[in-house]
Amino acid sequence: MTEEEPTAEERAVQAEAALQAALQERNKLWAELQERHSTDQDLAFWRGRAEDIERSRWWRAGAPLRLAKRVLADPAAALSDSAGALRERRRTR
Amino acid sequence: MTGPVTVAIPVLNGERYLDEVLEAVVAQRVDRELELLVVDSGSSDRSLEIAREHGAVVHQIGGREFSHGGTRNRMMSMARGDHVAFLTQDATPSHAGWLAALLEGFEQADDVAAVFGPHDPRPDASHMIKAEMERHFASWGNGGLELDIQRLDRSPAGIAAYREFPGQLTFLSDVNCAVARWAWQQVPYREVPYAEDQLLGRELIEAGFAKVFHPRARVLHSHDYPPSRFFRRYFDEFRSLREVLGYRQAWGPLRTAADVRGLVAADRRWLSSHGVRGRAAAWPLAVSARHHSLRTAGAILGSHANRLAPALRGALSLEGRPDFNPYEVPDTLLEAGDSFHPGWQWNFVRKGYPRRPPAVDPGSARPRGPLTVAWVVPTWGVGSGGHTTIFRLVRQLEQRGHSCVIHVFDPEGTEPRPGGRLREEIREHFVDIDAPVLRGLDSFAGADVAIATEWRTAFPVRDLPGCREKIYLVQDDEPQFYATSAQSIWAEESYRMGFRCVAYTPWMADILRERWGLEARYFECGTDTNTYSYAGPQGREPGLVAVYGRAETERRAVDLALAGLTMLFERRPGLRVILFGSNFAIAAPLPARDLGVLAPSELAMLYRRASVGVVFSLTTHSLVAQEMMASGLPVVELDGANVTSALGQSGELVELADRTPEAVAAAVERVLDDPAAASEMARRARAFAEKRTWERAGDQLEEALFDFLARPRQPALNL
Repeated sequence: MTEEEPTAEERAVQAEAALQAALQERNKLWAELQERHSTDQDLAFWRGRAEDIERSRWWRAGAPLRLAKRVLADPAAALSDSAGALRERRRTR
Repeated sequence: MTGPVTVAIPVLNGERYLDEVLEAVVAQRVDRELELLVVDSGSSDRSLEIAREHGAVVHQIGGREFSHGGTRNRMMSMARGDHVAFLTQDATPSHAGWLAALLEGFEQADDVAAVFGPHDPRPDASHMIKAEMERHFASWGNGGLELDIQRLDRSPAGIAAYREFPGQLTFLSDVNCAVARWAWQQVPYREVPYAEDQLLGRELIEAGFAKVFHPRARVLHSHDYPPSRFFRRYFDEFRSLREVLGYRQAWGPLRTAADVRGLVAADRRWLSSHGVRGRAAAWPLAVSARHHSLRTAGAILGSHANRLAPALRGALSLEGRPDFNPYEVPDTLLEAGDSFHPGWQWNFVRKGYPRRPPAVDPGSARPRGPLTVAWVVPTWGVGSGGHTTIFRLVRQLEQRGHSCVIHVFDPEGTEPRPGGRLREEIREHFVDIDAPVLRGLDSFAGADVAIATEWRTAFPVRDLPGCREKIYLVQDDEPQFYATSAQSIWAEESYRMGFRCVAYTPWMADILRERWGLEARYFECGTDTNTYSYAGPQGREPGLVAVYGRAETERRAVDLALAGLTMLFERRPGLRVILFGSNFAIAAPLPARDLGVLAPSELAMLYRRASVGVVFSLTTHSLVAQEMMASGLPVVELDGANVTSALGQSGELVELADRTPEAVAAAVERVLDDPAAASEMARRARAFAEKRTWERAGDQLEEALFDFLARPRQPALNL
C-alpha cells in the first residue's frame, strides 16, 4: 500500500515552513556574526587601551614597585617571570 | 511604448570602413526605432556621402570644435534615444544582434548606466593584437563568455580591491558601448580631449551605478600599424592617459624587461594554442618582442611626457602634438584621498556626490519572514528623544523575531566608547535591546534592510553593499534644524537620494511625499503607559508647571516658553516652575528649579505632581508631550500644523498657544484657572495615548518594511 501523496496545498504549507526555518537559521547566523564583529571591535579597543597604559610613563615608573610586590608574594615565580620577560624582549629586539 | 535607440558615430575621414559599419548598423534587429546619428568634424573624403546614403542624421562641426568627450556629450544631447550606443568609424558590429545585446545589458538591473562588449580583431590583424584583445576581453564574464554586471563594493575590502585592480571595474570603451541617458544626465562625459571613456567608466562606477559586459555585443575592430607608427601611437595614448587620468607606466631596467618578457610569453601561449609551435613560432615571437618593446617604450615615454622637451614630444607623437596639458581630474576613490583630511567630519558628504541612487541588490519580492535589519544611528546623549524612539523600534522588531544590529555613525569622532559599552548604556538608559552595537560601518556585513535614522546617516547608508532595501526613518524635518547653511543643504540632499521613507508622523510623511516626491509611510510613536501611568487631578500641586527645557535643541523654543512663563509669573507670583530635559544649566529669567535630565521613572513622578506641562515643538510634535498626556498631565503646546495634524485643535487633547509670550502665558493660565476642563482634556489625552502603544508603532514599522520588500523599487528618483 502506498502512502498518499500530499496535496499541492500541503506541499505549499511544508515549503513555507521550510522557508521560515531557513530564514530563522540564516538570521541566527547573521546575528552571531554581528556579535562576533562587536566582540572583535571591543577586543581591539581594550587591547589598544591596555597598550596605551603600558606605554605610559606612570606605568613604567611603577614597574619596580609591581616587581617588588610580586617578589614578596612569591619570589620564585616572580624571578622566573622576570627572566622569561627579559629573554622574550631580547628575542624580539 | 519603448522609445527609440540611437547609434552615434563621430566621423573624420572614415571612408575606409564607414560603409561597412553603417550597413551593419542599419541591419540591426531591434524591437524599437533605430536612429543613426553621425557627427562629422570636417571629413574631406566620401564619409558624409556614405553616411547620408545610409539614412544617418548628419551633423557637421568644425575640426577645432571636436573633442572626444565634448563631441559625445553633444551627440547625447542630439540623440532621441533613451539609450545611445557609441561606435567608432572603424568598429563594425559583428552580427545583427549587436544592438539588441547592448540593450539587453540595460535590462539586467535598474541601475545599469552603461553596457560594453568585446572587440574582435580584424582578420588581417597581427597575432600580437589578436592575443592581446582576446586576453583583455576575457577579463569579464568568466573568460568573456557570460554577461557580467559590475558594481563597486564600498566596503573597506571592496575599495582596497578596487584600488588594486581598478580597470576591472572602470574599463569602458566607446569604440563599442552604450550609455543610458538617465545616467549621462547625472554623470556626463568630461570635456577632455582623450580617455573620455575611461573617465566616464570610472565616474559611473564610483557614482554607484552598474556597468555590464555583454559577450554578444561584439564588434570587429583593431588597428595595425608598422612598428614606428605603433610606437608613436602608444606615445600619444599614454600621454593622454597621463594628462587625463594621471596614469604613470612603472618602469626600470629589470621591471621593464620582465614586463616585455611576460607579454611575449603570453603571445607564445596564444600562438601555441593556435598550433604555432617550435621553429614556426620563432619569427612571430621575434616580431612580438619588437612590438612589445616598442609599445612599452611608447607607454613609458608617453606617460612621462611632462619631462620631455616640447620639440621631442612633437617628434615622438603620431599626431605631431608637442604640448602636455594635464587635466584637472575630479577626486577619485582610487586615490587614498582620506589620508589628506582623515578627521574632517564632512568627508562623508564630500564623497556623497555625484548624486546616485541607493545601492540595492536586485532580487525578487521578499516573502514575509524574519528579517535582518541594520540600523545606522548617530551618536547620542542620554535623554535623546529621537534615540529613544529608534531603540524602542529596534526592540519592537526584535520581539517580532527580526535580527538587528546597530551601527553608530560618528564622523566627528566624538564617541570614544566601544560598542559593548554603548549597548550597556542603551540597555540602562533607553530600552533593553539584544542587538549588538558596532562603531562605524567597517564591519558592515549586509542585511535585508539598512535603515538610515538621521540625515547624516543617509549618506553612508545609501552606498552600503549587500542590502535588499534601504529605508530612511525620518523623525523630523531636519533641514529646518539649521539656519541657511551647508548643513541645511545637505540635510535636504538626504531627501533627494531616493530612499523609501518611514516617517514619524503623518505630517512628516506628507512633507516627504508632497515636497520631495518620496514614497513614504508612517508610524505613530508609542507611549510606555506602564511607566507613565495615569493620575487624575487629585494630588497635583496647584501652580506647578513642568517645562521641557531642552535648550540645546533649539526647535523646542525653550526661550519662548520662559518668556511666556515670566510674563505669567509677574501676575501670578505663586507659580512654581520646574525645568527638565537639559544636560546644561538653564539661565531662567524667573525662579525655577532645573532638574536636568531625568530617568523615565522620575519623569513619571513629576508628571503626576504637576498641574501643567509645557512642551513645545516647532517641527514634529514631541514624544515628551505624549508621555505627559499618558500621565494625565494637561499639556500646553504651540499651535501649528505639525501639532494639530496629530493632536487636533486647542482644547481637544492639548491646550494650544500662538507663538507669542502673551499667548503662552494665557494658555497656561487657562489650564490653571479651569481645572475641571483641564482634567477632562487630560482624560481624553490619556485615552489617545493608550491607543498609541509601542506595539502599534512596531506593527506599523514592520508592515512598512514588508510592504517595501514585497514591491520592487521604482527606478525614478527625485534627483
